[in-house]
Amino acid sequence: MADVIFNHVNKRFGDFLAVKDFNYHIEDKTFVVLVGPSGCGKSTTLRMLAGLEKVSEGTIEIGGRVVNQVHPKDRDIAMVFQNYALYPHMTVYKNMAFGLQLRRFKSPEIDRRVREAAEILEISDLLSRKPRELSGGQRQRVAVGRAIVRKPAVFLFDEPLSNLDAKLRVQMRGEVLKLHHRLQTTIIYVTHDQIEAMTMGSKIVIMNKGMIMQAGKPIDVYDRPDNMFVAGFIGSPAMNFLEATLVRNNGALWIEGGGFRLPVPPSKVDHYAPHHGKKCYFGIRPEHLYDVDFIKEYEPHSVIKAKVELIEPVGSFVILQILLGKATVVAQVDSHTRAALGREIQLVADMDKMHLFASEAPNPSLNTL
Amino acid sequence: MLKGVPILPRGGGTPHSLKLMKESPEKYRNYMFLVPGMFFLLLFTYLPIMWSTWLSFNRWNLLSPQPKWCGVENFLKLWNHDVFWLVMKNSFFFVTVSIFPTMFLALVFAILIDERVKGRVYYIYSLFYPTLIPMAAAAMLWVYIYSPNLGVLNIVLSKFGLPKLGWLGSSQTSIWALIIMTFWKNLGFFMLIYLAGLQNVNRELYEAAYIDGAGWWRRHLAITFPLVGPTSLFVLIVAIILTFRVFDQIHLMTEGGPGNSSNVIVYYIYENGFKFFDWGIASALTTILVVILLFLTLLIFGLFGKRITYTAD
Ligand SMILES: Nc1ncnc2c1ncn2[C@@H]1O[C@H](COP(=O)(O)OP(=O)(O)O)[C@@H](O)[C@H]1O
Ligand SMILES: [Mg+2]
Repeated sequence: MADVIFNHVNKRFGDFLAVKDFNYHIEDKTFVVLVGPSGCGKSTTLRMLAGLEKVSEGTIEIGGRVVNQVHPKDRDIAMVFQNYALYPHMTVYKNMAFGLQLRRFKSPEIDRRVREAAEILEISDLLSRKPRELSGGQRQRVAVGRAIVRKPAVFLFDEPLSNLDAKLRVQMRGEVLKLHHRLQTTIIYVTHDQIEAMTMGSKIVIMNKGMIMQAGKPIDVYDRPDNMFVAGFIGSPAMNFLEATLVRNNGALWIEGGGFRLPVPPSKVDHYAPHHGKKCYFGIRPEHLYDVDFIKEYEPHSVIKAKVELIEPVGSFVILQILLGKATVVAQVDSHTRAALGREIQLVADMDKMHLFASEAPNPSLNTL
Repeated sequence: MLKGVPILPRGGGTPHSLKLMKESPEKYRNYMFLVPGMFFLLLFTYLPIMWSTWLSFNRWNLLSPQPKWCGVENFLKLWNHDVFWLVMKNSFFFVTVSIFPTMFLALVFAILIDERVKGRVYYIYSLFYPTLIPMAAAAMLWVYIYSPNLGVLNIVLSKFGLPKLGWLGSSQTSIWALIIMTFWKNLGFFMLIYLAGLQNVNRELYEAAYIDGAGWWRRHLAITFPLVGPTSLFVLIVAIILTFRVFDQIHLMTEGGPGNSSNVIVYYIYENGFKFFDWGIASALTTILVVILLFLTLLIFGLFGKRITYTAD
């Protein structure tokens, strides 16, 4: 049992508040991803949990015990570092055995655990090599191996895949997930890559400027972002935001902005009605804008017309940049679209998937109000 | 492998492994740039070495003012001379006793300074200061420290109820006094080299070991010491050469005395050349010094050169 609980945790570096009121409960055996742009305090949070940084205010509990004053070695955690942190002068075997030796395990037990971990990670034939004789992916495996021989209650990963090339990264993602399934322990995983977060996390915590912006299941965060930051951070290509005003016109509610006027779907009218007349941001994801040619039935008012500025065929779909009023909007449409550069195109907006955000920072979602 | 294609070693290489220069006319032009440097190196380094090596096989002193070939006579004379053996013993003693504490403490101080966030520069400067000041000034200072009745050292010793020592004036302690002073003078220099070497050690390694429960000593024994290997090799060789060549402080503080108790090889060369005017013997001693240094350097490289882990990978 190792729930990890952050209780209103702050971290200061001098006057600078790097982590602000971090308050979150991580349940046992979950795979939690901390995600956010570089410098938002992810590593600092993880390092406080590991015991590499002191907590300025608040408490951290691991398995029901406050660990603020507990030495890292007694926290029952193991950490995998971004640059692997393998000891360059030790063989793979010794790298994995070192932590156990420090904990005074008997050598037969050390040997058993190292070989078992090597087996799991398929690095048994590399045990006598030095780190510099390994590829990036193999080093990563050794770094993970060094953590699992310890059999900790909580694994901490700090951007472990960011030094690998794209293909290997995708492969290792899958392997880390399999490992989690096999080990059944809590994993806290830091990354700046939202795709990694979405694909790996059973829960994700999105951070910005030292604060939690939203936490939850990936799909919930994607469907119902709490604020404009999360809406823009999660999803690729990123959500479009357009300045708009809510206007009421004989019973119906419309979103009006530069070059477009779109109807609020009946199901949401009651919800948004109190905000009519207000300036706000209209948000729509590129994947919720469809090429009119490929839609059988649609609400004719939900069509927007705009000039195509850029066409990026990706294969399974095409990414279009269109000019709507003065704003550039990205749409992800069917790969057989007849869109042509410089010509007008008609796109249907799936208004059931629309978002509205308040115009003042921190731009909370009006959907959830 | 394709001809003329630059070949980089695995794991990123240094430009010197580029084979671009192969078989190109630029090669000769590139060598030309070496000519001036080589010329002066030849003139002021290799020629004097050859000249003095040749002289060591010549009789050349006040009684024989022209160099005259005499085979190994100079070496035989030294072999049969007690002072020569005392000087050799002193030199080796000086080197072996001072090198390891110097290296060890230089590394420890470098680590301590490296771990400090505040006041780094102040610590570096105060340790490096002895290296900066001229040897003559340092010698003056230490002559005062060592002086039997007024010296700071003896005053401190007697405060603790310990007997006063003769230091520079006693054949039992003179070489120790010089070793301590030389240690003080060189420590900062080697510390600075180690401090540079430490920058190559990845900080994450210490954090990984810390999380695993390694204490301060364990972390540095298991990580720093092996990983500063290349620096240590360099420091070891430089320290051996520097220490074998100690001269100024001996000339200024003891003149090799009392009774040759602090006489070492370079000072002995000086005595033979400029006091006894036996340039043949002085040259023979120079040859011996060159051979010893060459031998030790090759030995150390042979022993450790290949076994050292280089952090860059
Ligand atoms: N030791 C430190 N001293 C001062 N500021 C720090 C220190 N470590 C991190 N910071 C600052 O704290 C903020 C968060 O850093 P970090 O947690 O490393 O971000 P992330 O891992 O999300 O990229 C950054 O602005 C960084 O500059
Ligand atoms: Mg980070």
